[in-house]
Amino acid sequence: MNKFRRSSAVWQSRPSALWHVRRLPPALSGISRTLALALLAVSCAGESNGGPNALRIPLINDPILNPVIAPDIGSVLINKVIFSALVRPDENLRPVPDLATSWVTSEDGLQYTFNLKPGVRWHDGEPFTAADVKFTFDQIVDVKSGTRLRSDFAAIDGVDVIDSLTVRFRLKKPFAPFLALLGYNAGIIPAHKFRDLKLTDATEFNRSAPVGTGPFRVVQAASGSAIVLERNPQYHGNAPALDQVIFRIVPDVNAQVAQLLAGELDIVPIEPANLPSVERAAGVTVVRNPIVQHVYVGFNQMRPLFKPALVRHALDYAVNRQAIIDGVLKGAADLPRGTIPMVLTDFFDASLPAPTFNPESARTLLANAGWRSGNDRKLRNAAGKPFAFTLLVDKGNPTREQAALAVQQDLRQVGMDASIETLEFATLVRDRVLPGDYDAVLIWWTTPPDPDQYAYYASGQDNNHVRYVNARADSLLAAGRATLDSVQRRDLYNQFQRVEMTDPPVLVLFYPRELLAVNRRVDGLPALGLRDALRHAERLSVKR
Amino acid sequence: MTAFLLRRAAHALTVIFVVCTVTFVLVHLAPGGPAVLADPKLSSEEQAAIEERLGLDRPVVMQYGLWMARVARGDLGESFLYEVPNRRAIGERLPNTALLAGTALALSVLLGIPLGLWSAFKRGGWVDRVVSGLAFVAMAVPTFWLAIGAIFVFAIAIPVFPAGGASAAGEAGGLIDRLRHLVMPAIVLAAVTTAELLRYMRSSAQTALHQPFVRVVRGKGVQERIVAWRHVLRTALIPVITALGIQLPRLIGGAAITETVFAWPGLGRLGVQAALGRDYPLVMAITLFVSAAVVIVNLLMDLLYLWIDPRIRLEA
Amino acid sequence: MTVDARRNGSTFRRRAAIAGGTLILLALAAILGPLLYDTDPNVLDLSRAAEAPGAAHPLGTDESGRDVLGRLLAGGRVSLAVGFAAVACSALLGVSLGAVAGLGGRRVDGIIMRLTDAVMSVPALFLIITTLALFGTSVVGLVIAIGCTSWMGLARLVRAELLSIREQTFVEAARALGTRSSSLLLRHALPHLLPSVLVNLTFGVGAAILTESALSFIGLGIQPPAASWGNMLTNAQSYLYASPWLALYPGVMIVITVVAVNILGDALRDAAEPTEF
Repeated sequence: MNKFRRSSAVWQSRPSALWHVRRLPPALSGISRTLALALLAVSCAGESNGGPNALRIPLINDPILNPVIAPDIGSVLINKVIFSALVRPDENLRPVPDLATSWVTSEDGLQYTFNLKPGVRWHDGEPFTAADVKFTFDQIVDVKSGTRLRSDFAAIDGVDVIDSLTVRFRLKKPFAPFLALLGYNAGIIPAHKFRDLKLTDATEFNRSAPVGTGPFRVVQAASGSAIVLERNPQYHGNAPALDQVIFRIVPDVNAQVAQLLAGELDIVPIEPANLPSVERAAGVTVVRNPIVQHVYVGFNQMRPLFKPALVRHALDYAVNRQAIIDGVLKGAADLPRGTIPMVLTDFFDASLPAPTFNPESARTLLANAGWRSGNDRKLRNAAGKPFAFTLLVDKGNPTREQAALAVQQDLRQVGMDASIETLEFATLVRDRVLPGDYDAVLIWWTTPPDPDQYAYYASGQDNNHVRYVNARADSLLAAGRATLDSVQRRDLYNQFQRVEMTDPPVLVLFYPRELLAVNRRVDGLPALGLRDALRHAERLSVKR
Repeated sequence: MTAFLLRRAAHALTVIFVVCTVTFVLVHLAPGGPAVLADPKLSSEEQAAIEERLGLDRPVVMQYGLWMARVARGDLGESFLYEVPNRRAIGERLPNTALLAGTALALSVLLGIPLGLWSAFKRGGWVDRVVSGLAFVAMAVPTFWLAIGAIFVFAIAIPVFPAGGASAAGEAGGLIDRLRHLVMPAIVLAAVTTAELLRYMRSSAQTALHQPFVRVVRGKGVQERIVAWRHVLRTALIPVITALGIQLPRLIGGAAITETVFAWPGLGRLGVQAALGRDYPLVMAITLFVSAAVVIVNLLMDLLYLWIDPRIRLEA
Repeated sequence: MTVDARRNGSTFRRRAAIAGGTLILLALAAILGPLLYDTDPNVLDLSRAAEAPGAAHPLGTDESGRDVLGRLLAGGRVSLAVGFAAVACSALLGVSLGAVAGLGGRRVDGIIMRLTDAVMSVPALFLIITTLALFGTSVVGLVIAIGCTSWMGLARLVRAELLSIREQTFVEAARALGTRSSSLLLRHALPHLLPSVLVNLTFGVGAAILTESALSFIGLGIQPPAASWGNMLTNAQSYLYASPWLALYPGVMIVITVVAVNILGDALRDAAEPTEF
């Protein structure tokens, strides 16, 4: 007993004598040594891709590799490289031949006959024929197929195969945007891969093994990771310069920028907020291309607040667009003159004056509409009700959120009380915008390379969610849609632009430019938005 | 012993059933509908067609019955967003998550347990103080901040490691390439787990150290090193294994944010994107899968307890 | 033993003092900040985006031209408030469910334990993200979501204590005398439990702050333009390579706060459960 107590006392006072302090226990030292070596080996080995003849582009999500049912922009982008269409937009956004070599339009504009390129083969070697075109468009107009393109082609009555290289479209009425839409998202899919198989059931095709006629074909698809495309040796156009195009799945734009700066990506669409980070990097250049898009604040004209055209006209003067373009967008946008984007030069009247920022005019117009500011600098009508509303904006996009804040501040200067509510995009659209349950919303339309905006701003149309009603605009838009003569069309749309000056359907904030951060080694990129540039993927190359 | 196992298995099945039901209720209580219906260009006709195809127009109770029947068969439904069977979607991502979680776990065990043990033996020594201090800080650092910082420093400022992804696609992505991509996400993910394991190990080893049997073993003249590794470790491991069990869900499904910042193609990220896109079937499938995995691993760990601590074996 | 106990006592006091002091300082700064430092943290000034620290803005401006110090203070207020509220919510749930499980019969106990296991088997962050993504975000929703995923440890604690007290003889005696066992158990259990519960809650605050910042980071927590340390980090990301200090401030604040909370919790635990030898 005594012996033990004495021993324990010894241990308590001098434990270190029994534990070798200076040396790590062997197990620990062995492990740490191995770890250190491994870390060293791993960090020194391997070089990042400086040399491969490949272009690396990011996507946010796993794409659906089928242009007819693809629901998101990422899928649309990659499908433009895999699948050719009948036509494609050139540098001026006019349709030029792709799978079709020439076409004839009937006098009444109701029939389009296309002659197809001979000798074209699908990625699996099968021959491409008019039957594939008919199959594609039959699927596109069939509501049950899962199609996402139906509204674009609602004018199609039927498609006929005249012979293996000739196909005819019959339209229900004259439809001027038809050619532009054919070159927009309507990639042609092979009939022979879908015998007895619904488009939405073709998992292998949609996920990893699509078959198209584009300059590159899919060789590998790792979920969440990357889709690897390699050159199509049988491509029907000019031989592609690149060996590979790789679409890497990177869900977050900041992670995309990080990979671009580290040399692992070549073309990244960025937000203006990323500009300072990207402009510093030596190997990166920023491209600002105008695109067919208008960003606007839509005021719900079912609400008595916004119904009078005078009020909306006043709002046009109340917002300082130039400050937003300079401050929020860092100059990567153009001042708007109506809803038709400036880049459609064939139809845009650039002689019209851009809207000026003039709060005084705004206040005058508002006073005429019955809104006066009191001592508290808030606008009130005769009944004393304040001019207050909620502005919705989609969450997660710093550019639009900042723009909304700027709009809020500008409107506060004229006495309006705008509060901002951010919502997730899907909720915003489905629960508020589509049912018309909102006051104002900051949103945008990306439109095909055609000035037709009938669906968006003609009264009673599906996409006219601001419920704009203007009889003159209706007749102009309807006529513009049905007139095939380009000179006449131009005149009609110029008149529409003028109507918009005094009775604006929406408050157009700006025409954004698409910002692309591009690795300097990339060559041959057309001066178009990325989705149209990728339709010329065979021209892209990298300097080595 | 068999009775014990059967009881645990029945318990596990009950838990999975509860998770199944609660997820279904949660997902279907959520306001609004799936994001596939949120395209501003969809006409009402197209919307109706999509709803019919996805089975959204059926009464909720019927949808529940169909869902449970499917699960019993092992069919986890089909994703709205990707038009793929969920089993396939999960199966494609699982190896990546397993790799990342496994590596992080291995790192934290290899670092946390020996360091914790050492800290317990050399309480107050410089190793103890430095390591404890680091652990404190590591547990307070937000993972995404660490991730962003790591990418900034080690991928861009000093280009040592790649900035994201699981491999350099398109090349012959060999083993070294994959390892390079694994290093930073695994270390970031392991930071918190290592710190927690270390502290658990330290405190439970301290408790074990003062058990009477240690005095006996020391009194027999056994080397301190063997006292540490063979005797104290085994006893001290039990609470640590419990702690591991609690960490496991975080590693399996909760690495979503790390996976997003590093663009790692894992299950966590898939789950978050499915939730944001209101992809009901995929959300339910992933929740079910992850919770089933955790439950099964806990079951296995109970078996591990039996092996490690004879007292429990006798009790059972 | 005596030597250690003395060291233990003074260490505790020292650590608790440092940690508590830091927290009180932070809380004061957050609450009183706007009175002493009068800047609207939400005023945009796009022409002065991402400025370095200067006279007008002691810590510089963020990517929208807003004053960083003001936003840090405002964000601190929000983060701390959410942290405490979430912990209160989890305490309510945990203690009540644990009490019900401990006091009720075996059936009730079994049901509650199954529920606990079910909630524990799903990763907390994933569950919260899913819930918030499905139901929309709001501060109340955030607090409830975090609270509903962190009550389990507390419930088990309370239940275990109640079950162990039950077995003791004085309870049998009291029952024989006709005293309602539940009130008796609660009266005896709660004081005993208080230290452990307090420790649990203290660590819970740190965890809640980390969770809130992670959620705000991915856009499901505090919504802009309201400031929160988490969403300040989100916005700072895009400016990372041009103005890295913007990402440093909020992260450092989070670390300091959580470390202080954890030190406090540790010190409380050492005092409450003197198992340190």
